[in-house]
Amino acid sequence: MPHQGAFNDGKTAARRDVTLAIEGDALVIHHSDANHAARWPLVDIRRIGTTAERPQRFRTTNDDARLTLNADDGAWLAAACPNLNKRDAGRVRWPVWTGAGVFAVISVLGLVFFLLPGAAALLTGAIPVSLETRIGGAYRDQLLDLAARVDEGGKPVQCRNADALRILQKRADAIASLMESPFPIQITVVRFPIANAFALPGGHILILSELIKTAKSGDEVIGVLAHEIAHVVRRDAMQASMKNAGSALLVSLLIGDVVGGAMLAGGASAIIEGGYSRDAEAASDFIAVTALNQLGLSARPLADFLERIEKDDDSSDFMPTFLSTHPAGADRARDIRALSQGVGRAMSAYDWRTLQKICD
Amino acid sequence: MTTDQGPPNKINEIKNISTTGLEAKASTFTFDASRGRFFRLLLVNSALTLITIGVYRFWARTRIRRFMWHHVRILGDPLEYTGTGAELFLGFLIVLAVLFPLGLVYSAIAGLVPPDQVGLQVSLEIAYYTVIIGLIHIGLYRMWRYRLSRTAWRGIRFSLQGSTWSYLKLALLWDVLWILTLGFMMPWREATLWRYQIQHTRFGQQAFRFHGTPQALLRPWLMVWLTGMVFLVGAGLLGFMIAGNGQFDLSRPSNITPDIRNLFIVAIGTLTLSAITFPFTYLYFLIRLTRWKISGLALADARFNCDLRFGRLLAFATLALALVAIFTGLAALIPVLWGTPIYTDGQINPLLLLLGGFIGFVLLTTVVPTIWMTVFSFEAVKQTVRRSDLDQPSALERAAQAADAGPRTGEGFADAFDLGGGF
Repeated sequence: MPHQGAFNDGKTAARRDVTLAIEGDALVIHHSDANHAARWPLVDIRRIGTTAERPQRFRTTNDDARLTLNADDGAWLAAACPNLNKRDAGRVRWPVWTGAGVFAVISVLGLVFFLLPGAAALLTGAIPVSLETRIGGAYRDQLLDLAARVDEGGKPVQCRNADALRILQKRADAIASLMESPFPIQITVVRFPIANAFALPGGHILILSELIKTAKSGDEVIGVLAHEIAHVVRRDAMQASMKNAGSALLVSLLIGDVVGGAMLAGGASAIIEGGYSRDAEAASDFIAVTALNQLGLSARPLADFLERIEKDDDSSDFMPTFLSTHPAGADRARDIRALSQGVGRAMSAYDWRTLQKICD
Repeated sequence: MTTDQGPPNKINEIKNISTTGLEAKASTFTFDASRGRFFRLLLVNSALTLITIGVYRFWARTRIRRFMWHHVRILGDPLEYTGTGAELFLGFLIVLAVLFPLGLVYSAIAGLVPPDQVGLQVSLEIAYYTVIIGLIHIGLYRMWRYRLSRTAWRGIRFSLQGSTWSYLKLALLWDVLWILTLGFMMPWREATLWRYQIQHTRFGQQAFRFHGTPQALLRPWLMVWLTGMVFLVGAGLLGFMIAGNGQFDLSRPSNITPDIRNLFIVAIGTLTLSAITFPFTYLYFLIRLTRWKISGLALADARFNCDLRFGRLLAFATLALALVAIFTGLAALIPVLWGTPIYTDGQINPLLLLLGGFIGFVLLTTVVPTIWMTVFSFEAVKQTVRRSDLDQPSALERAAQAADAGPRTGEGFADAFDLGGGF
């Protein structure tokens, strides 16, 4: 008894009852009207779906025709067809999409490591000095708002002791003019329990009060200040914020959607920019030490300070060096000591006591 | 017995189906997927997508579609999904090459605008969102084109003709009208866009038509719209009482007169009531929208009909919403639970923070969508297919194959903007 099936010829969606037989190296599909009959080479026959499905359905390569078996597990046909489950190359050929994949990986890497920093540097150069100063001012106000949310016993968030600020400003101006800074330096001291300082775009420098508390001498504070002024001159903050925006966008596109992926984008972009920022840190150290040398001041207190805050910093215990934005404190301290030539002190003991009262 | 001579009648079809080993059923469309197998498929997909940091999602989506399409049977024969994960992946790479420079240009321009130039910043934002919304429309139309071209029944392909640009112009115009009327014009917008899409949809060479009218959608939409308006009024009232230029000083109990208290109760009451009602009026609207979209369809002289019922989907929607709310709440709770020790002793343990963030991320991006799709989306597809019908199925059988094989790659924009509701 011949096998029964239903045949769609691929030209219309009609369903025709057919009888099936294997003749030589082909499956012959018989129909009373010869127009709707077909002969499928056994090597070209492919199964649609899995063996478990009923009814079993088949197709042949490069053809829209379909064959459905009637109440039959198709074992007789499966035994005769050698390539039943072969996966044929799709309409997108594998060289195309392997090539596309390799190209994509290379271009993503190229974007992150060459184009993004390059574009950020180029764009930063195009931004007028006055505009960067205004952008930096807006950043500073935002950060002050954020800092104000940490309650420090109701004291004002900004430290405004005029004598102490004058001590900082006088030295900052001297260092900035040596570095030929395009921006006048505007120092803001913020009451905040973390020892750190930031250079914002446009000559704005934020010093957190804990930094002055942690410092053992005024020379350490001035060393850090020189380092931040070097960032200002290099316009690192402006470049970094442009690069951050770019890498966050890239990561969120890769992860899947522009909106939801932003969650991971922050952490990932920090990893991506790690290498670049370490270069910027090393360059800023170099510029700062050179300026201190020219002023006859010792840069060794800056090295001491870096080593000390690294010891206090828990995160260095498990964060490998390549993940952190700053190069390892010990490496930086060694380089700074090697470059330092000056022996002078940045301020008198009296000035240092005045500076320590900046938040009182 | 053959069915290619003359128009087959209902009895013929029933015989045809029973010969393929299925239960004899009078309906043209059947759906026979198992929810358990669908759930297992989603679990495997989620795990692989997580392990590959999202890259597997193209192959995952292809597996889901192959599964769902295969279980939709028309006159006993299944729909066939012929797309591949590689095509989706390539589409994604192409779109990456478009979106990334676009985003870079935007960040560069945004960086150049001074922070105190509010007017300039607002117009830049508007331009940005217009481009994003435009890309979403383009993404949707291209997504339909790709999906239809990869959908076949008895070997005959579907296709979407028409131009993406015409659709985009139409969609943006109706977006503007939609916004200007605070959403009131929704039925007209839906009718225009759906008609454009359907009139350019083909099965083989056979074109679809759409004869639905926006008026038929007006009543269900008004329910949603009014709920939304009540919510806005309540929110406005409350906002005015709390922030409104010192007229209501609620800080001292002596200032709260009975009038103010009553007003407060009214504001809170309308807010709560409309927030609770909204999901249900919206579900009701979505069901009526689906019915209207399918019942207005015609292929040659055959008309479609859909009788999807609100009452039958309500329980599934409520259960899915409750589960999603619980798991979203859990995800939101993790930062709080983790954050408490962080702030009390002043020490931040970054490993703990990362772990908490990861668990929250997994909950939100894989667990919540899996629950929603298993409990609600699956049921919605099942009932929509089972409660749809076609009065003369022979119109489908007469369709002849068209030469157009569709686009080579697919859905990059749809992927970038997460369109398509999980399928």
